[in-house]
Amino acid sequence: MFGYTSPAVIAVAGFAYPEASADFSLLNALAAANKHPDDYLAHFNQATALIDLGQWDLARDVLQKAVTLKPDFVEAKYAGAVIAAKTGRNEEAIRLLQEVLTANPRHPDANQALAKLYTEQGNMAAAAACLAAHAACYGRPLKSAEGG
Amino acid sequence: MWRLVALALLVSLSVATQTSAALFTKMDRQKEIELGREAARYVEQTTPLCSDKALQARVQRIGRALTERLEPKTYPYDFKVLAVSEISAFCLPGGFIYINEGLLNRLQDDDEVAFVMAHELTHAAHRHYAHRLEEMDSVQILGGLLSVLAKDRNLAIAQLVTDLTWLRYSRVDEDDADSTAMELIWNAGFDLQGGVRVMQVFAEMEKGRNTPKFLRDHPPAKQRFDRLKIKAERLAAQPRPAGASASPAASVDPRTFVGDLPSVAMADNPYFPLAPGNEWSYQVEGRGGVAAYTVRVISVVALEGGAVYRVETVLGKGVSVYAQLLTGAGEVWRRTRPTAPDSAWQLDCLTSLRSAEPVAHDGWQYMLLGREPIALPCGTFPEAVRIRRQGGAPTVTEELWFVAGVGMVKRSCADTGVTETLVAYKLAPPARSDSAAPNPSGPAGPGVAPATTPTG
Repeated sequence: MFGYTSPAVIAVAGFAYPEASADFSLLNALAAANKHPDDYLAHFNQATALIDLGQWDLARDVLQKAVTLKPDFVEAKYAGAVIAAKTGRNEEAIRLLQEVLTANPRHPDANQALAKLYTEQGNMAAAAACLAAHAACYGRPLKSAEGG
Repeated sequence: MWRLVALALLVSLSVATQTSAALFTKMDRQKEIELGREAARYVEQTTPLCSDKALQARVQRIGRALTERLEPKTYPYDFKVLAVSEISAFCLPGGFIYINEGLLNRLQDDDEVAFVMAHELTHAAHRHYAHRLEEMDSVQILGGLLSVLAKDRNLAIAQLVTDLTWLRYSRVDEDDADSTAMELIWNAGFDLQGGVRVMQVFAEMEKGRNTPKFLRDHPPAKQRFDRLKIKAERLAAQPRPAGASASPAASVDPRTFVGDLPSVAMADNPYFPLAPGNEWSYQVEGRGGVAAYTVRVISVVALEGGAVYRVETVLGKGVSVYAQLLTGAGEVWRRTRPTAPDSAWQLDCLTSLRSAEPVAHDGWQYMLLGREPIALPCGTFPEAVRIRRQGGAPTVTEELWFVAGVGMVKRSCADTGVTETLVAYKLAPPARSDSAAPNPSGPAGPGVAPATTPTG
């Protein structure tokens, strides 16, 4: 589908340039999903490789399989938000990111992604809240939070 | 393990005679165009094109103006905008030129865009990639490898695109591209100062910590700026070729780039002074953390009866969001995601309320709480207008403080417990002497950059 037909070619391509690594991951995940169709991680890996390749629609379809197999899979929701944002469905992206943060308030990327989407909506106050929440976990905590 | 195998294969095939550089040098123009077209198809399959038809039409119009006077016209030049925020532009063999939305957002007018496009066009016309690929050993090896091993056109195309997207031209080639670009924009009727201004923008970027990747191997922008100024003076001393229109940009209605404007009398707003170069840095506190963001006005689209400003909000880690703003005497309007087809103007805030009577507008209720002094990290201001607004879904209540001649200096949201405070700002001198903006009431007025610097 993506032009890489043999492990040798993939290996050489992977060595030569990073995009091929996504192809390599994709083929690996495809093989795993064929062997174990109930393995949600195989479908998820396939979806993330497709995201790396910019194949948003295909990634969305594959991701749906992972979510169907494991509805509480937080990373799949985050990946779904990335796809939604990339394809201009910002409301859906915001909803998914809010769900991600409800499940995992310390998600390493969700607050920043949400801040960007809120800024794009012109809702800077909400964006600022997300930036602060991210900073509390990964940036500069408030002095009071440090006990100072 | 795979990498070792790959390395062995690369070494064993390093003697392959047919290299990608040699392919280029020997290739006839038609084949080069075909290869470029395939590479362009690959780019567009893997990277989304900007959906703003007006923006695409704009670069195509500028491209046409540039190529009309190009001699010899070797390639069927094509110009497109990619929906990528990274500040970059590149060309493929055969004259397929791509400019990223992120770079376009940084450029102020058609003259500047024309210079960037002419620069890339020169790389294509003078076949700089062929020179450079000859010097890239790895690519030579890979070229041979591909011909022996892959027999796979898609792989070759993908490799080619990857090489060319981030190809580092020699400084000689970059200087040639700059110099020829100036001649091209002069011949096409653009303003030579467009090129000089672009270099100023790049020089500003080089001062920052995040020099765009595609500028890192160019000669220093200051050096290029000096050369372009000399080149501009030399060209301007010559008569412009007959037939070059004074400004191709003049024939285009600037409203094309700003969407359907709201029904508002555009005017300067003292509480939200907009001018290219203005910049506000805020510290965000709350939810247990401290963060920062910066808002800067990057360019202006002059319209009959007012102006629309392009604004960049820098959220950190290379993430920027672009919007358009315009002001009425007592209101601020925002057009978010200006390159999206469904983008529309929305009221961002009312800034001039005369009494404590609530005013409802667009799902929000505004109320003047009073005028009071305010002390902030960037200075103490004797009078700030304090406004409360309530609305949105879910409903939130915010309080905002505006200082005349400075802008929004503080915002506090009771529902989230988050406060944004102005920690530094920079205001360009007013462009017009008849500006409606009054003198600032704070100690740090227009043109004064407080010592405090943004944090975080």
